[in-house]
Amino acid sequence: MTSHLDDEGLHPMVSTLLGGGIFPSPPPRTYDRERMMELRSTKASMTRPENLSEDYNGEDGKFSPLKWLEHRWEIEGIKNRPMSKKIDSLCAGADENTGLSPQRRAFSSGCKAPTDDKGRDGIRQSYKNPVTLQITGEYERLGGHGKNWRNGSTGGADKFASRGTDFKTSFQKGGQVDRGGVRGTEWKKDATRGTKFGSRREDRMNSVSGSEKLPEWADGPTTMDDMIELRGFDEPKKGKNKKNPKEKKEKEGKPEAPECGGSRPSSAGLKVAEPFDDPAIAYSSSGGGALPATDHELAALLGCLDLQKASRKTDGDEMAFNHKSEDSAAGTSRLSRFFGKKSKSPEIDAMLASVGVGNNENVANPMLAKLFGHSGGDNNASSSGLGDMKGGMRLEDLEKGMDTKESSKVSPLQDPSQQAQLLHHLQKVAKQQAESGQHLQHHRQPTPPNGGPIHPHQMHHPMVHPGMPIVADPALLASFAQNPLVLNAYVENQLQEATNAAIRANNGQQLPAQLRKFQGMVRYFSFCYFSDEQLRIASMRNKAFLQSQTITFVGLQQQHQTLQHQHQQHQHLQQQKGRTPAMIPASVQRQLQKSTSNADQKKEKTSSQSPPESAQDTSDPQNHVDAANQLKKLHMQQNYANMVQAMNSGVGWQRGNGAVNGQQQQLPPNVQMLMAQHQQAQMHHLKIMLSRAQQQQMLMAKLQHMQQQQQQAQVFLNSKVLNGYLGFQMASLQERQGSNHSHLQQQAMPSELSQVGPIQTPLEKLLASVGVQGSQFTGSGDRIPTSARPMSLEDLEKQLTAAGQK
Amino acid sequence: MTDLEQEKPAAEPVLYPLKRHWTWWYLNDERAKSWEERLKKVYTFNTVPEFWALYDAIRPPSGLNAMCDYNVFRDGIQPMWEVPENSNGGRWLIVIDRTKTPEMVDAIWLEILMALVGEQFGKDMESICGLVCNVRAKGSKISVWTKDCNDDETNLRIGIVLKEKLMAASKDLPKPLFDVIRYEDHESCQKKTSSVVKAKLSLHSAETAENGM
Repeated sequence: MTSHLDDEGLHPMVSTLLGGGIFPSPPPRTYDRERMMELRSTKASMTRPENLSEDYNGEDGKFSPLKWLEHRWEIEGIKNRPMSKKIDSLCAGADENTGLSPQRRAFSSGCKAPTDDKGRDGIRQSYKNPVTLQITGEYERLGGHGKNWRNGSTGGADKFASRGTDFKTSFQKGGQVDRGGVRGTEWKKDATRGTKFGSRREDRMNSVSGSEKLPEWADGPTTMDDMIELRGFDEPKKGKNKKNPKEKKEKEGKPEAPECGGSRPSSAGLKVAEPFDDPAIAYSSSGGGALPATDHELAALLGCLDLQKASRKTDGDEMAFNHKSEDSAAGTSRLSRFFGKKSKSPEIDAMLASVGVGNNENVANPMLAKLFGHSGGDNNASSSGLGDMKGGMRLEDLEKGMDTKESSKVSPLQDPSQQAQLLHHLQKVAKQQAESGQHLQHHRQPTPPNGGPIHPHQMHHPMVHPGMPIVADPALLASFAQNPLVLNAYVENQLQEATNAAIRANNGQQLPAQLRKFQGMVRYFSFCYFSDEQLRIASMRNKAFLQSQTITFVGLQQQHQTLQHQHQQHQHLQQQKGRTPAMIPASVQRQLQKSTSNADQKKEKTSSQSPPESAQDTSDPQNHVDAANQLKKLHMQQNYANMVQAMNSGVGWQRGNGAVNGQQQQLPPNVQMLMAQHQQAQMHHLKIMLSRAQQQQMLMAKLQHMQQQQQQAQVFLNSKVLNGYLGFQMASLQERQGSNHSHLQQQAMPSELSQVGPIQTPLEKLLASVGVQGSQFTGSGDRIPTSARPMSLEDLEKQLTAAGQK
Repeated sequence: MTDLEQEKPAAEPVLYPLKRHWTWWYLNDERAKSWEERLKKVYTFNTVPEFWALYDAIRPPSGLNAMCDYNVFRDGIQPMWEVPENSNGGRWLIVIDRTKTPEMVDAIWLEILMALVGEQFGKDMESICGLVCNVRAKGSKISVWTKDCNDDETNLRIGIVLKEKLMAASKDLPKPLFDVIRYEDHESCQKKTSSVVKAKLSLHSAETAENGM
């Protein structure tokens, strides 16, 4: 050892002494243990190497190669670390609240949605915030204390008493418990805010009723077990409409809330079912508490306050859900039943109906009155603001409505009245639009007597209910699924028939151009849907787009079917469809179908071939269309195209897809192109989704049914309504996007179109449907215009029910 | 003055240079991954301060998960059997069974590290490739890898130095840090069918005298 050391140490020195000129690099050294330990305490030794980042320190404060290496792997792309994977998956499950197991909680706490815990704490603070309360998780808790509160509620209490027995029972139960004490104690604690609340319950009641009203949400079922009785369907509406919105909310929204809270899936399903799918309906309340301002607005516009309860999921979820529901149509679950049977989404119809409903006070239909009673207070509708948003419709309600519908044709009379109401409302909206709108097209459509906002009720058109069963021929559906073309043909055929029937109804006169316009609107509407779905399906944009369009179309058809006022619209649609062939040469259609997903290409093709279309149109046997009619039709188509474009752009709302917006302006005016696209989309959709085809079939059946009922005047009204409805959708979309209102307006329809009817820019339509004048809505999204009439889920439900009764 | 001060840090590493560069390797415990991916160079040092800076900053073997390895190999030798320096080599193996405390592993590890870095093996340093610590749940292993498993003479000398160092470090301990060190060739380890490999050489802590074989 020593020798070595010496040798090593001497060598350089020796060489230096010898003058060898070779300057050995630092002399090799040996260090024994003692030396090493000495050197350990030198400053340099105490300096941590720079490349041992402290980021990778372990809990012991020392560099952990484990962490470091993980990081390195990430950098190098070598991932798949099992541990992190596990963690991720766990977290993912927790976030989605999907897990049934008590994730990372004690099993004793049971399998609750994480939100429950949250809700408990939050409820008291959010006491006055109905929205918050409605959030799913909180129902339970609300229920517990709600009973107490309920006693004290002013108006709510009375109504409450009259509610379903079950509900009452629960209430009573709650009261007893209250006295006993634990809950009562809690309540007292809660009531700390005020000396107003006496220590005793009675005192509390008095004080509450007198000075301080209970929160709107205080009324209602408190537990999932509470049964909520749906009422008012058969009853005359009377003065219920007069209730202030809050009260209504209490009644309708509250009681149902618990159920909704209990079953999230159902809410999701509902959402799915809704043809709209859009942001407006789909306010994502995943978080529960805080809704984005825009979503909120949308919700307000729609009147779906309950969205909070439902805690709707994102659109993607909706989609998934949709598929699921379709697949499991035969399942026993409520959702499955709901969607499976009524595969078409009646909700849309309901939505439509509900949108307009607010204004109709005097509507003959009790159900409607009840449903829309909340808004009934303000006939003028213009006065209702966000705060007025009334109780939403719950999933259960929708379901019930569906069931009713399916089971029968209950009280056919209701339909007419409802329809009349809806039509009325829509007309009113349309009128408003027309008045305020950029393109005044009144001359074309004389304002119906009732159309005026001031006189909403006058319009009453009893509808004839032939009671045509909904034809759902499995074989037919299958054929559709297999061959989209077949479906198209079928639809077209029916449309033609409908058209013919309509013509007959009109004393052999052709349907007013408005109807056509309506058709265009319908298509437009469907397009909207398409685009919406398209967005969701990010990957296959074009294909998805087409599919989505088809789906939307189906949904639209369904809506028409469901809504009475839409009956007429359906007829129009059918007519349109029937004429569609005339409009677009079969060859063109085929080409379109064959054409790849590229929408632009399609458009081009269509445009190039459009001339033949017009020629054929004249030749169409069914259409006794004169030149003027053709012109009108073209206008309508153009309008439709514009709208479609706008919708497409609107689709972007969800994803903020700028590209989509770009499309909007690019729209060629060619109506035919649009038609072709639509058909193509339908084809794709059919191919992809068999279930959808089924829905369509049902729609067709309904359409036929509607044919009989058709009346020209009603049709007229319907067209307006539809326009308004579409406009509403668009508005909602735009709100989401935050796109410029002006943009849509710029796409203004051709002057001819303006003549045809009150068609306005999509945005305007949307706004109009909601009761907002175009001028009122700045698109800033900050607020909902005071005149906006929110549509509630209940409204939708009612609509559905009405349809079922039909 | 300032100049001097500035120069000093730069010159400092040279103050306690090592004869060789030593590279600290880390093998993580994810056996699903390829061994090459699991094995990473952590740091290379060639001065005493650098060594200490690294050693005191990095987790000791006791801080590693089971199935992790530390390797400190000199110069460019990679800690794997396949490389020329190791293909015909062997190792002095110290088994620290699980009855021993993790601190014992760290102590042995540090003792041998200091001996290697401090060139305590004299000329035989040329035959030494590096030091390996296998952290295992059933008992960690620390081994000194040498180039030629058949060079019993050299290997024995190395073993004796090892024993010296370990015994010196154990003098304050109730028991020696090791019971026995055995020399085995890598080839046998690769082909071994049981956990026990016939040792070419062995040295027992209990024996005061050096026993070859």
